[in-house]
Amino acid sequence: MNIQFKKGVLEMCVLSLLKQGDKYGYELADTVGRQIDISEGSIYPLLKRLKNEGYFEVYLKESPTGPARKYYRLTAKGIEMQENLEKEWKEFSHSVEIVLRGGVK
Amino acid sequence: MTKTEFLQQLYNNLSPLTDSERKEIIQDFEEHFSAGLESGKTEERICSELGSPESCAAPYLQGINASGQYARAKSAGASYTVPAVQKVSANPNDGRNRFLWSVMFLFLVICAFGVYPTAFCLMLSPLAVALLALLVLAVSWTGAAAGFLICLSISLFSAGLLIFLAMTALLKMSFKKSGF
Repeated sequence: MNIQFKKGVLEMCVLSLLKQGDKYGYELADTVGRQIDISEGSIYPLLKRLKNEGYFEVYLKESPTGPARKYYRLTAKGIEMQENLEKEWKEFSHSVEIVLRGGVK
Repeated sequence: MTKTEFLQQLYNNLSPLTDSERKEIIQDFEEHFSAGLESGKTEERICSELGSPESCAAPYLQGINASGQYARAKSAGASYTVPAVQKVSANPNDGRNRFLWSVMFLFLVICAFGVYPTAFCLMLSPLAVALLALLVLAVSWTGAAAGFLICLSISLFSAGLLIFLAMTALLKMSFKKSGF
């Protein structure tokens, strides 16, 4: 699959997963990696960037088995971003569908 | 590749960053390894799923600018930080539309100097009607005249209010669309 497709959609996937509840880095990387063939390492720079841009808050939480884990929680700004991206994505993929079917509604 | 080799190479590739940033990134990846190992994966498998240490380090270096802050890259094309979803949905007419909307906004601002006082006068005009009513009704009181004056007051007031709300909504919309 086209690499640019994946990179653009990755941000939306991560925001959408976090909308359903706080998650730690590995959970996000693993969930996306199971569905989309992408190098999971690219999740972490993305998480850092989105955090710096104020879409997430980060907190540490003890795990029952190992050291504390870094959890990501969407901020109000992040929720808004997710909704915008999802809406744009749906409109966009709908338009592309129409074009693929010959450009007739 | 083992976990130690991966982290070592990642650390080396992050050399343009500050020590604290490098440590933070390494911690993220260490956490990834420990969670992956817990779920039963081998170090080898986790490494291959992560991709090469070089490719993992690249986006951290790409997004960095002079002040050391991460920023959305301005350049189009191969840049990692520009989400394709946003890029493709950007309308090529956006620039022109914005310009037109900002012209519209400035026009509306100028209009507002006339429109708002008019709207307020209309909203206050029932007072004048009431004054008139006192004079008229003092001379000859009829139900029809009273009804007419009340209707007049209400319609003048609503016209003023409507103009006020419409003007405000138009100003708001054009301000938003022009993206000042």
